[in-house]
Amino acid sequence: MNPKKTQTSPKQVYLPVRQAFHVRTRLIDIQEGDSFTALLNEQEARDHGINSMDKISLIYEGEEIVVDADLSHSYIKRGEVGILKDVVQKYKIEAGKMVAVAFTSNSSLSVEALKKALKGVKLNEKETFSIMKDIATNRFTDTLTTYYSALGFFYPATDHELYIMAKAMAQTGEMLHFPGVVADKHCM
Amino acid sequence: MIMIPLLTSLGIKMPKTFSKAITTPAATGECVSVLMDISFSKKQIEELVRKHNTCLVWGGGLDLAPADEKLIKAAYPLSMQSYSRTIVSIMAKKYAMGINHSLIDIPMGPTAKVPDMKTANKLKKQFIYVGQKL
Repeated sequence: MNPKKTQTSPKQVYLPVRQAFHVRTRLIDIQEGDSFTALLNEQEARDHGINSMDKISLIYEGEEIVVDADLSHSYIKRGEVGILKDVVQKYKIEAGKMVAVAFTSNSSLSVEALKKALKGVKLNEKETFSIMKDIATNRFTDTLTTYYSALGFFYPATDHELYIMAKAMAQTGEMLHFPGVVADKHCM
Repeated sequence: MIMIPLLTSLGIKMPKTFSKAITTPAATGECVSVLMDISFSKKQIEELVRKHNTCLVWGGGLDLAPADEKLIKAAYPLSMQSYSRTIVSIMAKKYAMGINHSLIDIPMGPTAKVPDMKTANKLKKQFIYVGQKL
């Protein structure tokens, strides 16, 4: 082995660091309608190992918001994150606030569970919960969500599966409680 | 729209939510949204039900069964949803809204979502099973 070839200066090696970094919010007056997006400065994002359409986690006033990353070379400066109107409205985000940004992805449990389900294997409560949670928190891409949505056409669920899916779908969101008889009439 | 005011006037709580339509051009709530606001927070819903015993709100406006809205979006372009997903979607929202008594109407016929009595009976059993377990 030639020792000269193995000695590389740290400056010559591009090693993106997937750690959280802090930026200020800038509100962008664009509404996409059905997806959550944030704009990052291209170079700053790449320094942290984030590419376009990666899932990123924004920590805003203690709350985690998962959005898709879009990159801009000049429109967004270093130290800024552009927050699109859909996210601004849902999470009541204000301009000029500090947020922590980090790369994120779906849990490995949910992806493995989805693969199992696509092969027709029945999922347990924990696996179903992991999928519902990743869909609910926007960690699943649209493609993965569509795969899960279509499963019902190929493998009709058992009564017990329907129960655990309904329970997981409800418990991964807000739950309301009222005292006494709480009635409902629903037409399919 | 007729039954709910009648029943709530008798002191029965009936918090109503709706989803965006998949198999029809517009759901009840989407029609109502032309006339009034339908997006409320959890706190506002609790206050509405405390005052009036009822409400009509869009489930997607708060984090009520949030995965459901995303699954609906995936199904929307095809205007199709499997029966399994339909049952899960309906029952998850009933459970999240704190419903403990539910009457489910399953229209049946050539132009309805449920084409025959055999399918309707199967769905009935599944709704009852999930409701009792939740």
